[in-house]
Amino acid sequence: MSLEFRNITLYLENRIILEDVSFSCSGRITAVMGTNGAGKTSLLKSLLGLYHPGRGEILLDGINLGQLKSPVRRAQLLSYVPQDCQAAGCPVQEFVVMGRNPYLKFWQMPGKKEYEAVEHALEELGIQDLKNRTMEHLSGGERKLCYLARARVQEAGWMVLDEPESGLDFGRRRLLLSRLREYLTKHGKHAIMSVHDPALADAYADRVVLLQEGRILDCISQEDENYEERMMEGLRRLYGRQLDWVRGAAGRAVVWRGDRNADHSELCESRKPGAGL
Amino acid sequence: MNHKRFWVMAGIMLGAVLLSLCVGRYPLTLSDLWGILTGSDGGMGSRVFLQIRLPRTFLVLACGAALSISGLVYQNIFRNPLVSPDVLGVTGGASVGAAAAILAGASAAATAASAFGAGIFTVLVTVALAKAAGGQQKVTLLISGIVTGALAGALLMMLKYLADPSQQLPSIEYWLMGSFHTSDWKDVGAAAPVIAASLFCLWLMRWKLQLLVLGEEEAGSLGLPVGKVRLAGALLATLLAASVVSAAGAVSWIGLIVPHMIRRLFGDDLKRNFSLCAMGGGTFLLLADTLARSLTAAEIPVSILTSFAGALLLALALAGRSRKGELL
Repeated sequence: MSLEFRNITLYLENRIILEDVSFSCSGRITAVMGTNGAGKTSLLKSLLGLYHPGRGEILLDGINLGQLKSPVRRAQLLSYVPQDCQAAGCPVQEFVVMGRNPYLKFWQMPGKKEYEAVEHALEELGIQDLKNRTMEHLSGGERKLCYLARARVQEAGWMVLDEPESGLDFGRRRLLLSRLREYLTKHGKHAIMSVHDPALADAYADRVVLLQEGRILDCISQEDENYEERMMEGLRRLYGRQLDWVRGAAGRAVVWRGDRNADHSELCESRKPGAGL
Repeated sequence: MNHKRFWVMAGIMLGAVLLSLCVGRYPLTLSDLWGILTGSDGGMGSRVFLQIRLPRTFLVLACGAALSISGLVYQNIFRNPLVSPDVLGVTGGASVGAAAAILAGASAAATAASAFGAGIFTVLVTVALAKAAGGQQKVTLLISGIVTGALAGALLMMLKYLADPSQQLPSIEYWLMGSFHTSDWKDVGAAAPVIAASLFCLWLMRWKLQLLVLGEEEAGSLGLPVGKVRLAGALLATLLAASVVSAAGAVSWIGLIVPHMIRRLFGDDLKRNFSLCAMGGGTFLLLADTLARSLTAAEIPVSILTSFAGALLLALALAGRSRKGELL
């Protein structure tokens, strides 16, 4: 299964958001990183067909997504996990079963088969006890797991996640991404996600795409020989020179060096004019 | 649990139907009803039941269900619990149509037809305006509805100004307050098929309408043709509201308050709430109509009672929410 972005250029409100972006995804998970306003969400929305790039093409298993007119077919290929939950008052079971929509006719309702798929997905993610609760009464982590369950029943080959770690505590970020990776490996599926935390990208993604002001800064795979150097160099260009790797028995992580009074002026300089903090 | 709710609501509705059939200037008992139904009573009671009570009860029930489902669908489409059937200008347009017909001295049937046509025409103008304006369909539709509603209001004022104050003006005013006092089988024949067909189509697409709660982007990512579902839902809901307005005049509050109460009681699941909302709306209007024709010697317009009850229920809901620290 392949996903490739070729020379994507996107304009929104006469501003250039993505400029000549080309990369291909590899491994189970591809992470897209960059500062706020770098174009991560716009890239994912272009993939989902919500934005229409002025130039370039996105190829999924050889299918040019720009020429794919049917929203149903697109939903069979790509599932989406957004940042925020909209369906506040909806019961979990009814929320998750919505993932079966691309396989139902216009007048068709979800039946026994669809609800069995929901049961199975909830069980697999260990959240079957949430089945009859409403989305608004769940914690942020539980909601994200419900989104994963919905994407699971959607049975698309690729999952698109927009900042899946947002709003989650330190432990739940790890839990969510571990479950995601387990699921993808078990079912032979793939994901592309935008993330802010370099430690999560390093721990869970097979390939990391670094975006700066709408352009590709670097695209690094875990199996690349100089992965650590290139990753650190890219992160330093995005976020400042104080970043460094630390290593322990459990693995490595990216941390800030120095004290709280360190000079962060270079971080401000590296930011795009007009981008919000 | 869901079946239990359905049967409880169906039981309440049946009680309201029996009450509506029995209560009135010519009271009927349950044994009278049994006698009429088995054919052993062919007198005055039978005529009252078959020619007055039964068509009226049937029409009120259908109109209550139509208005509440119309409101439920609008609220789901616009993802706003304060939206009601007249948001696209249907009530305003239908009122102008009825007032113009009354002014022209048209018959009751022609008045109803004129109200129906004008209501639908106003909605088409609203949709065309929204399309021409472009942008976010949800917002532009609301704004276009305000524009056509205001225009209809201005036209209505002009028609009232031109009306003969002794004959036509009271007729227009009475029509605007909504009433079922002249309902007969002809009215049922005119309104029921449109209401039944629209309700059936909306019932079939209730799950697609439910997906709209996810918002445009997320629902679209699940393969839903969001624009088409929204437009089909809005047009069918408008058809429901226009049918009621043409049959009984402007009946207020049902489309706002009934879906709101059903959601508060049973949660935000359109698929499950659909039948509960239809039965709830029918029951609410049936009880209001029974009171309207039995409270005083002269029948009072039903909108007076639905507005009182609606405002009271909404105030109670607001008070309950503010006690819990929630926003509406």
